[in-house]
Amino acid sequence: MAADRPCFPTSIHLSTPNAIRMNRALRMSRRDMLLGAMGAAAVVLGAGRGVAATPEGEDAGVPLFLELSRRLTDRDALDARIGGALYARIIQAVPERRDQIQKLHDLMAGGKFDSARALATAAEQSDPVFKDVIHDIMTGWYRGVADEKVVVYRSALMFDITKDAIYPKTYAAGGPFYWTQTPPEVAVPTGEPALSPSKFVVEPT
Amino acid sequence: MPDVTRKILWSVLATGTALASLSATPARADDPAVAAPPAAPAAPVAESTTPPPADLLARGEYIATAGDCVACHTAPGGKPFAGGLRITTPMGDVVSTNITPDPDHGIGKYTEEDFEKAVRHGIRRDGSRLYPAMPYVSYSGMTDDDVKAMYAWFMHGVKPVAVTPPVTELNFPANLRITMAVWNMVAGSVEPETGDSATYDKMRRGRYLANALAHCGTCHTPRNMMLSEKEDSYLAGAPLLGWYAPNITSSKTSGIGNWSEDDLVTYLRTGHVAGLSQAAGPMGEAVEHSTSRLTDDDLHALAAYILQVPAKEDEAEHGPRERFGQAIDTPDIRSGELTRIDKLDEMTGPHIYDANCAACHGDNGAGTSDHYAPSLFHNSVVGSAHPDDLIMTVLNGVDRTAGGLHAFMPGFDHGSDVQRLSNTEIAALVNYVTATFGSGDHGVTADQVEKMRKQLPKTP
Amino acid sequence: MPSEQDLSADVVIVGSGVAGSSIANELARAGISVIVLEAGPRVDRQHFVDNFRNLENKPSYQGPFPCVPWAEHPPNQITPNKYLHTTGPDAEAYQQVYLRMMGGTTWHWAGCAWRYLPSDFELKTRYGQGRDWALKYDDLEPFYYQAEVMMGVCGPDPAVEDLGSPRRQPYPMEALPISYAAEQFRNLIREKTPYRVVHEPQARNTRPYDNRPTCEGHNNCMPICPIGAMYNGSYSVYHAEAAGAKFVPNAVVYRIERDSANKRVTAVHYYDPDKGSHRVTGKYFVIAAHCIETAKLMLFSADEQSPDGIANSSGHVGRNMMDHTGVQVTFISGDKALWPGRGPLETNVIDNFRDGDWRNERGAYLVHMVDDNQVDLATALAISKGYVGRELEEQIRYLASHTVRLFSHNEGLADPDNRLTLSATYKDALGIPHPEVYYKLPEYTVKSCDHTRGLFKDLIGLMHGTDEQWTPGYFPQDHPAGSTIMGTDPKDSVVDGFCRTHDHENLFIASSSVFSSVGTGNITLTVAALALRVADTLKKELAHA
Repeated sequence: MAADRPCFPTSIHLSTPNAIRMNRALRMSRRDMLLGAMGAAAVVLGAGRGVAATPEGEDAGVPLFLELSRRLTDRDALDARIGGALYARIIQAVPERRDQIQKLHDLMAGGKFDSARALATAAEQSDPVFKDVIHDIMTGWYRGVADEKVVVYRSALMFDITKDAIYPKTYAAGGPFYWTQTPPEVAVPTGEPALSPSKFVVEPT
Repeated sequence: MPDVTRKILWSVLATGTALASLSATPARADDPAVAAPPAAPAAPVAESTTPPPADLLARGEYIATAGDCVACHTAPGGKPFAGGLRITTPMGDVVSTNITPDPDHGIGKYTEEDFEKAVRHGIRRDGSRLYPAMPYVSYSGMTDDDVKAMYAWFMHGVKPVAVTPPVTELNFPANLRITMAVWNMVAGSVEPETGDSATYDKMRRGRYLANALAHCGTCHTPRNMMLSEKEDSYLAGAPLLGWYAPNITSSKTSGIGNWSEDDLVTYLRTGHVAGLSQAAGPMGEAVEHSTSRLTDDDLHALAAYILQVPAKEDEAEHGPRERFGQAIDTPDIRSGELTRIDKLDEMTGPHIYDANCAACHGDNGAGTSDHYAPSLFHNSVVGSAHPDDLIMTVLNGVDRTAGGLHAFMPGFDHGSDVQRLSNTEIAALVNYVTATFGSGDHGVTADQVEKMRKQLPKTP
Repeated sequence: MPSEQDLSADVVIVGSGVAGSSIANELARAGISVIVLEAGPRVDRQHFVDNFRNLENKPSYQGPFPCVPWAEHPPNQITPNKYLHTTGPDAEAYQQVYLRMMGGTTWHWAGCAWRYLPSDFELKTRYGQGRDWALKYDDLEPFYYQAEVMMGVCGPDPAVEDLGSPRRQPYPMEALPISYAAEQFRNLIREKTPYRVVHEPQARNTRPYDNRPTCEGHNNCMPICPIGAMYNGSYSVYHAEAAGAKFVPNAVVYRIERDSANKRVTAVHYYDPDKGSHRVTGKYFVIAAHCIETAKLMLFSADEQSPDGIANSSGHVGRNMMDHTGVQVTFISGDKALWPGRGPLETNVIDNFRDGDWRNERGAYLVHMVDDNQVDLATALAISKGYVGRELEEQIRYLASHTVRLFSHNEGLADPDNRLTLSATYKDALGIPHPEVYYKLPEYTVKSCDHTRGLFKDLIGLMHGTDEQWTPGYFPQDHPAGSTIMGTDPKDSVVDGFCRTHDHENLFIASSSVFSSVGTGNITLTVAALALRVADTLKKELAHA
């Protein structure tokens, strides 16, 4: 199986730029409609600073989401405030996700999975829809994005795991000319993917 | 050289009546009354043929640097010591004078005696009194030798500039220089130090530098009703033209009692000590033009003297101002919504911080890792119970070259090219910053910011 | 509502970008009255920084600038587009973006401040291709320097690194220290190829300059420098305002009125956002509204006197559309970790192909190694590959530190068939037609791009690259030029060497629209230099008037 997986997305070679752009435009219009219905539910920057509990924080699904997220990121600790905001965004975009997250949590609780990879592999085998759920969770925590909207930017995990080398754009804290210093070396990864590959589209600008 | 430094004096005014100017226009060349000064120990420069020895000139230059004459006697972008620094006061515009050795426009016709009278007694060549903006009360403590050296340097080491700055025109009663004679009786002067100031022991040298030359008290000591420095509150902190010259007594809660001598030396040399404080505004200029150019020995002497000044408590300060705050760890949970380019709505304090400050001072307030942009916690300016300096820094920015580094932060006032913040925005921002990284929300209002905005130096 | 009497000035300028605002600043400082009409609104930095952080598609540099309905600009580079309608065989290659708002498009540029080469002004004479300009490099040299001082340009010492454009003065600021990644690339090129990597001149502070801070490497020149270390037109707007120039935002100029002889422009008319009409009179007029909007305005102002549009007796308004249409490849380096994205975005280029005898048959080009933070792309990619947890984090670090992107600026060529027209279908909220552009990549440029691809393949090999991913087709560089082309002959050009229209003696154009050839360097510095030269001409003429 693994051998069949393309190492780098190949789809883009087969697409015309226009097809990619149209694809993006269509997705955008779908998203725009969803957003229109969302109204004022957005969490804004700063709300976490001083507001004791957001309505999302009280959702019973959040603790499950956090527990599941910890397993899927192989991390012991995740920020509950971010978790609440991500969960709210995910289930707002696709209401079925609430059930699916519950079921994925059940799957996790019913077995013994000692890694994110073990759980994700088993989940996709059990029901292909879990792949989308896991993508949402990974995209949420690592990119800080849910429903194609930014939930967190600098607090996304992708910046946590690269913080010894690079800053999020607009948050460079090295002072002038820090960039001349030698960044850390990175070994070639040896780990295997857990899920089947998906089409990767570079978003047109 | 954009120098606000001695505008300090004007803020002193803000507390009371109106004094002002550095001095009036210099005596005119056609002033016959002083053609032959009876007991002049040295002839005016025009008649001098042999220049004084190099070591005397070097000493004079050093003394003038320690006294920071250039700060007031140079206009923004102007030639050094040619005067023309203009400051708006409630009593009218004050303009510093040309103290280059040009005989017609500067002090070229001053004898050493004339010079001494102006520097130590505030009496200019035509016999009229200088406004006490000129810190002659401090300078009155200078030794004869140092006055002599400084005179030699001004006459021979400074390039004459043939420009007469505009005349200071003040409103009543500050326009009456006779008022100054009365003030002088109250303010008095101190006895000059004696002997060779270069051979003083460390503490005496430090006291000499602090009082007779650097005139620290001019800004850092509060004034009494007569605008004289309060002797019992020496260096206890005072407001000045929007800024606040902090308490630098040895108080551990209100002053700089937790600083080491090395800390203070570093501060005076570079304008910045990580984890303690940094200089902006008038102090930034004092560092740039004066203290950063002093010798190590003198900096240590000055620091040692300052650090033993008796503690004076400030009831407003509830703890060492450099010890408040810590890095924060708050996720940047966002709306994910974009605003249309013409929607310039005012934001909340944390939001303004994120959009304007976090890029350099960090989302956590820790500054840059090289301390180029300082940390906002463990920072005297943010931790102070007097938010004046923080507000003024946000408005005015920082522009200080010292210790081989040009520290720069843009201002955010109405003239900023980077971002122009409203009074409401600055108040919200400052309250957020002091609440998050300092000693609490001091309830700064938009009106307060507006008042301080008016104190900003005018661009030429 | 200002009365018509209030709206009159010695010089009326349409557009507040780098061209319009720098002219306004120069004139106002000389005591000349100036009104600048800007179609878009006043804006500020903090909201753009906030928009950027809220933007999901971070590489979309047009994204943080949602336009106002009365002054639309292209929302993105997607074809078909909601505003700039491109057609023809290479429609997608001309899908430019720009900004209509106070300060203009330099709110999002990478600060690359190239002078053109002397040969760029004499393409026809030297290589028999395209057109010559109606001025020479030497005519522009003093204004290049003036523009560099105005913007605050840093660059290398010509004695150490000669960029081919002779200088009488050093750069106002020292060159920017290049990043570790760029240094590795520079070393590779020096050691393994006959080529060289040079410091890119940039309008970016390497020390505090003009009351703005030193660059801190936020890697976000495009779309928005968060600290103001990079020049943008808004500074010239502020400086001009401080000097007394009057800027009118949300003023959409739609008509250029002339005298009965059709020789002099007498007024321009603009709509406010509610479509109230206003008339502004003046002695001189400058259209500085970006290449595309300038041509659009001149065509839309057609009337009985000038049925083909203003200053268009030659028929060349809207023609000769050029760009630096380029190629791009992304791959994974097999060498050491580079961690691109530390420091400014574009700092170093291979400049060996900016000029050569081969320009008689194929276009020149320059190559950027993009120093762009790849963490987000790496993350999206690694997730799509199916990684989770620990393995995902490994992948992100590897991909983010080894992704290399090269792109080129390839030289376009003036071809009258590449043409801007007014859309018959689409109109904006004020009823003004959208612009439409037909574009077919000139063969000259196609050959240049082919050559670039060959070079890129060599470089990928040298870096032991894998997973190479070519951006399909050609892509626009947002350096549109040529729509009111310069020339000596009024029969086949729109403006003369001083950017004055052949048809109307008091109408000037300050824009890349006057370029007769497009060279390879980013266009902004040349736009600014031409604009400052227009200001110089106007100052002289008004002094004599």
